[in-house]
Amino acid sequence: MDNSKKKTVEPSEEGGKPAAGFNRKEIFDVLSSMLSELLDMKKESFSEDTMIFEELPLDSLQLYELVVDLEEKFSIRIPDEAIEKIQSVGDVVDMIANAEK
Amino acid sequence: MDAVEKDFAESLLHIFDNVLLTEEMALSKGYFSDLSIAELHTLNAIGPYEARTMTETANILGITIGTLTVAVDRLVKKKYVERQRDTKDRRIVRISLTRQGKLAYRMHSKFHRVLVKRIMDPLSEEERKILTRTITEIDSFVEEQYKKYSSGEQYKKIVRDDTEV
Repeated sequence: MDNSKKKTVEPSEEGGKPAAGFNRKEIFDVLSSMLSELLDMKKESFSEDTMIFEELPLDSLQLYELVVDLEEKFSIRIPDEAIEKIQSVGDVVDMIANAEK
Repeated sequence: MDAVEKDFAESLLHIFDNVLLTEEMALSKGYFSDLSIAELHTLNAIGPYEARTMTETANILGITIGTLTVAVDRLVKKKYVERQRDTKDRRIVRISLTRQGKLAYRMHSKFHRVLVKRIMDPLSEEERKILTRTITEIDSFVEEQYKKYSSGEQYKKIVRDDTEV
């Protein structure tokens, strides 16, 4: 990752990676890898405009797998109310970028 | 008891039984069929984030450490919970949810949210306020009765007996 300078703006005291230290591209990259593995689809199948529930065969358990893995990866907390607002892959990127650590 | 009170009593008991039965059915048909309702409530008490001590968790559930230890042993074996020793004080054991445990927690809280949404959606703002106030009063009253009768340890027994009614 090439934005190590940016990351020092908000160093995490516990040594976890602050979600704010990731830019949209990095978040999207991790997210599309996770979706790819979870759904057994090519990484290139996803864009920020992909509609999660209409276009992807994601069931509710898989949705929570994604949420739990994203929380772990970015050291963030994703409340249920935030999940309910998700529609597109881009919404998930926003949710992670704005999530509470 | 007049007719209104009688209806109320019947409905209250029905709700009580049916919520438990539905929860149990949903559980047995779902992804986490190896979990009981009592075990799910233990996962809820531990919560998805910071590791908790056994004492904290036992207090939340209103059960003794002994009872909790047995429950946690089972949940560790089923890979829903893990134990860690505190790095500073090795005598303290902390428990937290595994990935699988967090998934069960999330799915279960979804069940509760859907239930609440279905009940609340057709109601007006005013009706919601009244319902919430009334339910809170019923909750406090039942809690008081429970405390009178139980010494905490009976939590699991009560859960089990209710499902048999």
